[in-house]
Amino acid sequence: MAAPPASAHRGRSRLLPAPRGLGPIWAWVTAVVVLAPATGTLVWMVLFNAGQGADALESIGLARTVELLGNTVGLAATTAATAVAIGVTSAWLVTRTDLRGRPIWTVLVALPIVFPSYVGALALLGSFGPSGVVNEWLGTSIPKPIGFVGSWLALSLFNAPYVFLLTVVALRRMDRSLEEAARGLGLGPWAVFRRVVLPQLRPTLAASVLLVALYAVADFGAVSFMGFDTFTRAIYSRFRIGDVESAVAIAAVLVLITIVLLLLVRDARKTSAPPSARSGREPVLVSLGGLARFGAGAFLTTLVGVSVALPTAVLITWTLQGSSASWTGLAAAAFGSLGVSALAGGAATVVAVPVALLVVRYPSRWSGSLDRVQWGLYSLPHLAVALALLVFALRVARPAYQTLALLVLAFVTMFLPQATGAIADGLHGVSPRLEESARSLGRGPAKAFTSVTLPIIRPQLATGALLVFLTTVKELPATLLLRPTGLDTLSVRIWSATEEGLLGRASAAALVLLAVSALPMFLLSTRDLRRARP
Amino acid sequence: MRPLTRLSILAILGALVLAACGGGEESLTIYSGRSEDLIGPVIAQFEEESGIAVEVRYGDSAELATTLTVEGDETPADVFFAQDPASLGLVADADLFTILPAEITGLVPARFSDGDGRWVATSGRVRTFVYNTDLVATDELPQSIWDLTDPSWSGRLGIAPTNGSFLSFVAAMVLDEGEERTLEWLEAIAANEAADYPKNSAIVEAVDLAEVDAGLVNHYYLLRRQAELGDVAAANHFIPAGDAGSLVMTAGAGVLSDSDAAVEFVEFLLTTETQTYFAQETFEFPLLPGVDPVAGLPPIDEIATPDIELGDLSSALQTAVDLVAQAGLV
Repeated sequence: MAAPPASAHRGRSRLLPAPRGLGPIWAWVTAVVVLAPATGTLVWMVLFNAGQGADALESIGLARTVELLGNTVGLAATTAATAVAIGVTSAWLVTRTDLRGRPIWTVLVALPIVFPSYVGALALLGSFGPSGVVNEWLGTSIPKPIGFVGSWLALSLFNAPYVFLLTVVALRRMDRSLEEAARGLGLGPWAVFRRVVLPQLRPTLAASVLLVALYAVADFGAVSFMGFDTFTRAIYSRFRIGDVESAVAIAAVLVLITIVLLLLVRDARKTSAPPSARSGREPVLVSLGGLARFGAGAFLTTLVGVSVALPTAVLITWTLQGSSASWTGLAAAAFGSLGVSALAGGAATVVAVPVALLVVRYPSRWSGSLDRVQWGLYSLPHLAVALALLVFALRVARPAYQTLALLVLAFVTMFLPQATGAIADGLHGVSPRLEESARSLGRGPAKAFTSVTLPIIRPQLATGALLVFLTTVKELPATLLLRPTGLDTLSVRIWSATEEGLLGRASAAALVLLAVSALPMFLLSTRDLRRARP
Repeated sequence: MRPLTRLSILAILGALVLAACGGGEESLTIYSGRSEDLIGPVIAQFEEESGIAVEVRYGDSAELATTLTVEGDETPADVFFAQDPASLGLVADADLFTILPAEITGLVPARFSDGDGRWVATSGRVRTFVYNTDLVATDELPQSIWDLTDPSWSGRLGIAPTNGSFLSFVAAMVLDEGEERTLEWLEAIAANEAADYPKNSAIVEAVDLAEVDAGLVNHYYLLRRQAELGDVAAANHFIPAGDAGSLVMTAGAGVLSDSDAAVEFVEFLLTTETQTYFAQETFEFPLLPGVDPVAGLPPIDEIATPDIELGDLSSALQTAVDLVAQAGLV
């Protein structure tokens, strides 16, 4: 969609007041219809099982609870910091410098997003230690990264692409005349980044930190393979012995962690970036000197080597070595994964527009609660959300039980912030005055929004849908619990084969998962991310 | 474009409703805690021979069992086919199984199945001591699980403390030797700095690659690794003392509805044909008399398993989880 004429920004019309009040009713209806089933059931489950939750925590012991809490928070904090550092550095390199091969780097750096954390962890473990693939190639004896180090490494590497994608879009939409002016005034590239770019990136960074930290809090796959104890593990072990009440009650503790995190980054998220003005000419890129060019190349090569080439090589090796490798049934599973994930990505984006609109444009106690609810659901282990929807369907909406619709609702419920984060980020960059101008020209509020604002934030809509698609395609616990009987997906196949120790078969399925995710990712990252350019 | 936004919302709601109203065709629905990789061929064979269309929901045994208890009478499942007695016990305790005909439960030795005939064992999986043949001498092999508490095993063992079958093993120990002794054993193992692995297969791999000297696992993981890779530097040792170290755990099935096809399926699992499949392809112990286990395994009667009721394992599972945590193993 063509960018609106730059003059629209500058026409500071004061004919209409800035949007105020609670926001449009249709937005609220959408948000409540989608989020209420899981939220209501979870609240109900916690309220009616508080006693059992206290017992469960007591049986774990105070020292143990504190330890689990420390592990969980520590892992989330270090993972978020690392993923943000990696994601922002690489995003800056591919959008602001004259590094060669930037379009290819953009795809490669984003690619590890397709690895489920459990596959990433498995591949890291398979690379090192005795007979680790890497050790065999290089003749080294690097030990296996287990425990905290392994979990941190796996979660950072395979979450950094989320930060990278969000940041690339934000950087491309940013008003470059400010940066150019700063450079004209004699600031070096680093000073420009720190004093001009970084402040504008704050909402993106805050969204990224939340996204990654909360993903780490909710993760089960990587920490279980690496043998690192977090809260999620306690919840799973309760669930597995049939103690549903305690599992849900312990999950309530995770909601508290989320709320604390939200309060911590609240100020950063409130600061909205100034609306972007688009100059029609090609921006001036930072020219990297010899040493910097070498450093940047080495950084990106190492990153892509460890997070893309290595796991892929390990999977290919296992597929070729393992006698259990089999390709039968993989097409059906791939089709299942693709269909479900596309539905989830689309539905999440449709729901995320009104939610982001309420959160960004109509700040109030109510929209603040809505924001906390969606992030709370995101940070809960998937098992807990899936369970709530299972109970909801059985008690309230029996015909919906084990249907595709319920499964898609679960994915939208769990991954909504990935879409709203991207869209909110886009809305921060669009002045409400644009819509006001449209309204002063006689359009209704909804028409003004859909015809003026939506087209501008199309890259963010695409990013949001893409993120949800890619997360859904790897999801396991909710898929296992809620899918229609007979629906086969790649993640289920990988899990099943890994469970039986059939590494060859698991790797074959993981390679197909890679292919299924890589294609939409490649299309979107080359087409829509580029479209975000001024 | 307001109508368009409304339309899309309506479309979602419409899709929800439509999808919700779908389904309802008659067929046999199985919840299988055994994976498609192992059981798929059995299901296909049953469909071909009986002409009954089967829908299978594959999942984790423990998670499916918990799901069944949440579903209660609303469950769409006709059969629950699980890989461990604890999961079957959980469903039996919730009064969800019907009683199986005695001619089916009578096909296998009574000690492996539920005493009340609510589920029947279909194959045997045995806890074993897997060791690296270069690192563990024959005279070092434990005669009882208590031998492993000796400091000579310090830093040499691998366990999977969060794994379902390890927890079943601990639960069996609780039933066999009591809570106090079990905690004592777990604490000694923790003091011996047993290495923590996510699952059985990872332990067998680690033993084969000499990462650890030995581990406590189910017997068939080594056989599968052998089948996949050929030569391995590891062997199974069945601890002879008759303690939980050689616990025979059974996979089994129970019927949840009044469907005849469901009973037919359970019976099919105990035919010579299917039992031979379990023996030869999944390397489990067949339970039907007259079907031999794969070469290299002793007959199941020669394995000294503790004298406990397998159906009780689920009741001790909570205690097992608590004790494992208390000993600091998870």
